[in-house]
Amino acid sequence: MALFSRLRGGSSAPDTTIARAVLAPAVLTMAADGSIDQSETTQLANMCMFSPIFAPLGGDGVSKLIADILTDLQKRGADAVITEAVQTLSPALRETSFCFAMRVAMADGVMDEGEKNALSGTASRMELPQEVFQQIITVVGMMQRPATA
Amino acid sequence: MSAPENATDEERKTPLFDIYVMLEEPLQFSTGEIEAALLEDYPMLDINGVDPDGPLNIACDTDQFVTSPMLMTAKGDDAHFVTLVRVPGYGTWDPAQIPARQSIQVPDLADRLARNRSYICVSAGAKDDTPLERFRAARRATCVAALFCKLPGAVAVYWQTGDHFLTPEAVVSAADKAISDSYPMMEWCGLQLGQDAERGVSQALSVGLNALGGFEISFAAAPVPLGDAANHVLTTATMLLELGHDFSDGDTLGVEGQAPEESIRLRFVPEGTNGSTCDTWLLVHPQSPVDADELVGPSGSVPAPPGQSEERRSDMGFFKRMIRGKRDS
Repeated sequence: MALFSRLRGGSSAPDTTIARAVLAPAVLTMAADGSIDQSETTQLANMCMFSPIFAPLGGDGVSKLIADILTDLQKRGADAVITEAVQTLSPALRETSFCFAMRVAMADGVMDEGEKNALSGTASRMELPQEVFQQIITVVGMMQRPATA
Repeated sequence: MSAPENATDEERKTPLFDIYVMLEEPLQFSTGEIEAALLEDYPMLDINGVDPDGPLNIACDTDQFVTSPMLMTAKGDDAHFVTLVRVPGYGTWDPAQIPARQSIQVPDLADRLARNRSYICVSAGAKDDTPLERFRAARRATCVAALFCKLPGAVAVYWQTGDHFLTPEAVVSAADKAISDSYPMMEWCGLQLGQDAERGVSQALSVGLNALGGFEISFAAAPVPLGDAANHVLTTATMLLELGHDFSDGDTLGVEGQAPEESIRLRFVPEGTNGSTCDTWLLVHPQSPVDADELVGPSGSVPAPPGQSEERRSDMGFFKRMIRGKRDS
């Protein structure tokens, strides 16, 4: 005997395993300055909506995922969460994940010490090739240039 | 679950669309859950005033007897009651007894039917006899059936009006197409196909269009591939129901510039001709051995004067305008 509600919930809820792993370093970077406000969460959710990885979740789904990851970081610590994310992601998606983290760090045009440390730790765990690491920094830097550049 | 024998003429005219969704195991649900899921998955349907937790929320179990109406309090253009039915001892099919024409779209039907342990029948009637309300009823039934088809335990579907089997995925796809105000013709229209290898001819007959448009379409035996015969039937159905073609007895179907004598001729065969139970559009290929004049009498159409065209062009947005008129106003 099966229940409609259980089967429907099981079949229609999108799998967030990959999305969670891609987003975890970005959320860690966002939290690196010690505080997170609603505008930062909204900014990250908006950033995600242009990615096919997050599109199936919708805006509310991404916001909920960010909140879940934050709770997870507080409960289990950054080391466990990022290690798990890295193990989940393919080399290509590690690059994607790092791009999101870099964009968060550069969102205000300034990278503070906490953000630098978070990114450095993430890049090291992800074993990103040096040239890819440099490319990401260069491109994200280009994207965040001010109007006066 | 079609119109009962004691139904009035009016009830007989108003079609009922029955869709059997076969399941791997019995399923428990409430009509309120199905209503809520319908509104969640198909918000484009014009249905409001539904109270999924209200007093008309009925618990159902497909291991038991089910005859539960839903959408009873609903308002809106797409709102009309749908009945969920499961009668013990019904809803099983023996693969050995199923003619090939019924399983064309489900090549592994026998394997699927072997996993059939229970079913739910979705039954939706039209508010009235107009093509628009017939479409809405078929769409409503398809969308509700699609909710069950999305469950992991759905194995196959029997679309009774078209007298053919479909995959659950096809029904979900049909619901998506119908929601965009288009006819999912492959799913809603069954086909009886015939091929006479000795004479080298193929023929095709629609099954279920009568419920949608009040007519069937028959492609008279002709020396063409079977797929072409089927395509002519489905294309003509789309032209008549969705694209706004208004044909008359004796008109021809062909590409632009094609001579009428090289084109397929449309003959209108009224209900009752040779015992037929509904109006039929007969498609007569120029090389068909069928003498349509002998069957239905000479065509009343008069060829256009030389140099003049009497092409009946499509009106591509005809159906969408009709169904969306109220929604967009």
